[in-house]
Parts: sequence; C-alpha cells; structure tokens
Amino acid sequence: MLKPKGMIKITAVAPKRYQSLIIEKLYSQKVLHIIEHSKSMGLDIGKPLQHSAILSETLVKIRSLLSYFKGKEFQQNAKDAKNTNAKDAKIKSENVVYEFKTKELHEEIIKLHEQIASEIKDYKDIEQEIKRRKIIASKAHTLKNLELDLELIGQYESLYHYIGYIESKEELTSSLKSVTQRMHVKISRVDGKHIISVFIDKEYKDKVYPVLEKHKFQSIDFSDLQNESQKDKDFEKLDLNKIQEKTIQFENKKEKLQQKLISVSKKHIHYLEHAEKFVVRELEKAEAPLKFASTEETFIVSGWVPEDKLERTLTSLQKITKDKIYIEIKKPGHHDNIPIQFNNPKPVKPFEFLMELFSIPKYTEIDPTFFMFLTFPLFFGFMLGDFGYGLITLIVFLLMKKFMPQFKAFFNILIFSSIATIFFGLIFGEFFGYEELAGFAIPHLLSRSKQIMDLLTLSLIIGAIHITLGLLIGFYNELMHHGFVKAFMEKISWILLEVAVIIGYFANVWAGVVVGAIAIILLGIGEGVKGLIEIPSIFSNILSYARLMALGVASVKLAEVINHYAGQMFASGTMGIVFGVILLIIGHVINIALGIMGPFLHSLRLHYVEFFTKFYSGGGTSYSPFGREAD
Amino acid sequence: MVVEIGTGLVALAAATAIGLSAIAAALAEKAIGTAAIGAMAENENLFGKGLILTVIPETIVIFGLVVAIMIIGLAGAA
Repeated sequence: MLKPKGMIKITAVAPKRYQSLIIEKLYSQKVLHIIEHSKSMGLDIGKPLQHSAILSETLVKIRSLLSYFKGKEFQQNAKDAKNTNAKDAKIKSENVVYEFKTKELHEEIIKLHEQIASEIKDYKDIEQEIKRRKIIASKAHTLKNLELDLELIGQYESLYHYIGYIESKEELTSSLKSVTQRMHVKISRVDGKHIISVFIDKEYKDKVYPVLEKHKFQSIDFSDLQNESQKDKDFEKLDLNKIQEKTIQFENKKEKLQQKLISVSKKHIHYLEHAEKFVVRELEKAEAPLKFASTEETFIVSGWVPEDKLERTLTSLQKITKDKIYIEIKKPGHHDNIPIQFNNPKPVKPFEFLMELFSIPKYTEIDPTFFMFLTFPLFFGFMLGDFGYGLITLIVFLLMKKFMPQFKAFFNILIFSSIATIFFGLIFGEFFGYEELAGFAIPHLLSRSKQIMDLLTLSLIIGAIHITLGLLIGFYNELMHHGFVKAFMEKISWILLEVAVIIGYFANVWAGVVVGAIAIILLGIGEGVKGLIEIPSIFSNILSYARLMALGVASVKLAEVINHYAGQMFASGTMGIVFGVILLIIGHVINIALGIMGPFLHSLRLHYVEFFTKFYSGGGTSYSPFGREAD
Repeated sequence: MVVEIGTGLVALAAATAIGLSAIAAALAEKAIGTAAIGAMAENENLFGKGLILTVIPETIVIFGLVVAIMIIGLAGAA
C-alpha cells in the first residue's frame, strides 16, 4: 500500500520468425513496459514489420479524409448535422462491428481518398469560378452605371480616360473644368460608393490626375472583364441579368456538390473513425521492433513486468514460441529507471490523481497516496466544516460523478471531502452558518465563530502533527537509502527542534534552549549550511496551517452575514420574505462555490508544499505497458 | 452608536494588517500567475505545479489575518 507495485526486469531473446507472434501476444496481454533499445548499446535496433509502410500510408489517407470531413465544405447546417450525427453514431457504434484487413483496407481507403479528393477539387474549382465571376460582374455593373460600353474603354489615339472610385464629388466637376473645357464627365453611385469616368484630350492627362487624386481617386482595372468578354457574349454586351442567371446556375451546382459531399461524409465518417483506431493499433504493433534490439536472426526485447504477472507472462511466451525463447529475469537495481504502478486499495485509488498532478513517486520511496487519502478530506472538511454545505456538495458531486464519468477520480476525492465536511459540521455545530435553529442551539464541540483563538491553536497543533508525520516518513526513506545516522541528523533533528520549542514554552526555557542547540548542531552536521538557513522554515510551515482556521472563519462569517441580512428582510413583510429567500439562495451558492475552491486548493497546497517537502522527491515514470494506448 | 477612539484605532490596525498583506499577496500572485500561464501554454502537464506555485503567496494573507486577530485579541484583553 505504501509502496508501488514490485517490478521485475525481463530480457527475452527469440528467433525473428516468432517476432510478430510475440508482439501480438504482448500487445494483447498489456503487461510489458518496454525499455526502448538504443543503438549506443552495441546492437542495432529492429526493422518495422513488413506491412508498416502500407499501414502508415493508410493512416495518412484516413486522417486526411477525416480532416476534409471536418473542413468547411461539410459545415453547412453543421449544428443539425452534428446532432443527428451524434445520435446516429451512438446507435451505430453499438450495432456495427467493422472487420478490417490491412491490405483490403489500404486499397479501399486509397480509392475512397481519390474519389473524395477529386470531388473536393471540383467543389473548390466551382467556388473559385463563382468568386471570379462575381468580381467581373461587379465591374460590368459599374460600367453599365456609367452608361459606357466595353468598346469605349479601349485605347485611343488622342483621348485618355480615367475610371474609378472617388470619395466625394463636391466641386469636382468645376475644378476639372478649370483644367480644360473639352471633357466628358459622368459621376454615379454603385453600392454606396461614388464612381467616376472622365474622358479628356491626352495632353491634359497629367493635369487632370492630381485633381482626381485630391478626391482619393482609385482606378479600376477592366482587363479581366475585357478578357472575359472575348469568351462570353453576355459580358461583351454587359447583359447583367444573363450574367446573374449564369452565376446562379453555378451556385446551384456548388450547392449540389456540397450536399453530395455532406452525404458522403455522413456515410463514411463512422467507418473511417473505426478504421483509424484499427490502423493506429496495427501500426503500433508493426513499429514495435523499433524498440527492440536485433541481430541477423534473432531479436531482443527487454522491459518491466509487475511481479504478480511475471509467471503468466513467462509461460505464455514460452508456449507460443514452443520453448524457443530465452528469458532473463532480473531484480531492479539502484540505477534502473523503474516504472511506477500504484498499488493502493480501491478507496485510496482516486487520490492517485492528486499524485499524478504533482509528480509520480520514485520506485524506492514511500508512495504518499495513502496519507493524502487520510488527511486531504480531513483538511478540506475542517475548512468548509458546515453540515448543510457538506450535504449539498455531497449531493452535487454524486450527481456530477454520474453525469461525467470521465472525471470519476476527481469527484470521488470531492465526495470523500464532502463527507468530512458533514462530520466537521457536526463538530462545529453549524448548519448553513446558523449555530441555532428556531431558538434551539445546535450542540457543538467547538464554535468557529466565537472560539477563534482556540481554533487557531488547534490548527497549529494539526500542522505540527502533519509536519512531524512528514519528517518521520522522510526518516524512513533516508534510513532505507543512507543509513540511520544520516537519517537521524537530517530528519529527527527537525523534530527535536519542535520538541525544544514545546519544552521551552511549557516547561523550562533553559531546557528548551539546550535541546534546541543540540538540534541545530545535529542539523548543521546533517544538512550543512542549507539546513541552518532553512531553520525558520519549519515554523513558517507550521504557521501556514493557520489557513485551516482562516478559511473556515471566513466561510462562517460570510454565511453569518448572509443570514443576518436575510433575517432583517424577513422581518420587513411579504416583499422582504421574497427578497430574503433570493438573497439566501444566491449568497449561499456563492459561499459554497468559494468554499469548494478555496479549501480544495489550500488543502492540496498544504500537502504539496508543507507536507511533501519533508520527504518526497518524486519524478518517477508511469508504468505504461505495451498495448495500453489501445483502450 | 458611540465608539471609543481607542477601539477605532484597534480596528484600523487590524484592518491595515490584513489589507496590506492581501495587497502584497496579490502582487506576488500576479507575477507568478502570469508566468504559470506562460509555462502551461508550453506544456499542459505543468498545471499542477503552476497551481501550487500560484497559491504559495496566500500564506502572506494568512499571516496577516493571524496578526489581525491577535491585535484584536490583545487589545480586547488589555
């Protein structure tokens, strides 16, 4: 319980012809945490199995198809599609079991990819074409508005023309006329913008331009319209209606293609998602030899197996290779990087989540998950400590656990904490901040709103006990690694320091000083200068447990304030009762929300910062056996 | 309600103790929080460590609160 599961290192050597059989077996057993072979160890790494190239090609195509299906071409009515898709998928995934075979799947996917890629290309081409036509059509529209023909905007021998947008038309004509009288000007509006066409003698070309520029003239380039008109009569005649009609035809075509693509995606997406999972699994198997060492005729795989599963693994490997396998078994040594598999009873399991959040223990040290299980809910409950709040959070977290099973571990922690809250609610005699109901005082062992100093003392005592526990665990860890003397000087001297303060305070000041001096000398020898500098930290660490009192009192006082104002409202008549109830509900909901977040973080912090620093090093690797990812 | 000037001063002293320490904690947490978010953007697994580092300065407020309570307690006893 206090140690991770025992691991055994195995190294297996077998002929290559058994390679794929062994991989298959290991993959389905999910017990071997493979140690990746690196070239530097002398032997070369293995080559992936034959069909891995096909598999990776299939995977690339499947993923590209899936990314198409998530692209914007398929997003029309995305919301309805999503809803129905989700429902369909649920029904289908329960009923349909796909059977895949690597080679057939490969051919099928390649075909599907080609077909869909070409359809998507058609779609994109049409989209492009529509965009282009729209731009040209708007230019045709501009010309029509200026009452010009396409022929008129060609090259002239003696004339020059400007056509484009301007920002304002005030005084433009008159200032143009001041340059020359021989000109043709037309100003019009299209889509809320002024457009202008000016025809002048070529010699005035450079004089007219600055005038136009003052009005922020932007020339329009008609070359694409001119090109298009050679191909399309409608554009030549600037027949806007016909142009529009044709564009709509294109748009209908695009719509049809899109509908087709959407139905194709609906038809295949589920199949593809399953195929992706299958291929990922097969590829992992096919690429497993990359982690093995290999020679001409044999391959070598080594890894960690939990002690209790060793026997089963060995016999199954021997059976499938008909005893043509050599397996070496080794106990873990000091320099091995041994993977960690937690070994905790069921109620403690959820708290492994809090360990993973921080850092996974090393194989050789004590796994503190069990201590977290004991003290985390205790601290949480001590801080929230209200019978009513505890009941509500308990119900809320039970419900949330049901609706969000993926966060089960997290909610289990909070459920334990809620139960502790109810327990402390009874000790403190609090019900939604009330210490008496209808004139009847709820019995309590300690009142948080009145005995603040006692609560503070209690918090500090809890802190001292918790930290001493941490130091004792640290003592055990050191004892196992560096022997008694070092462990005593590094950890017990801290406890001695605490004892010195207690003696000094309660018994005799001088006796305390003597014990303290001994503790400091031991500490100086054990931890060196670093330890001496750290001396105040043990007291600030213990003081830090004052938060057990602080958060609790803050929560009670807030609840009392809410209750006080609600009580005043109740006394003021019917409307007062309505608002009072609203205030009670909103106020207590906010207080509960704060009361979950604060105590959770602070309880966590007391463990991570104050408790773990006394003994924990962490930094282990998690046990992830070959084949685990498949689930 | 008539309050003695001495009582008012005690209340002010307590309020200053917790108020200033809260500001100090906020300043410290601001810097740590920013850095923690930055680190998390690089590596999501740092969430746990970031969270813990961010709440470390909260101890300052708690010391402030303890001092405030002691001020009121000592003044009340006197």
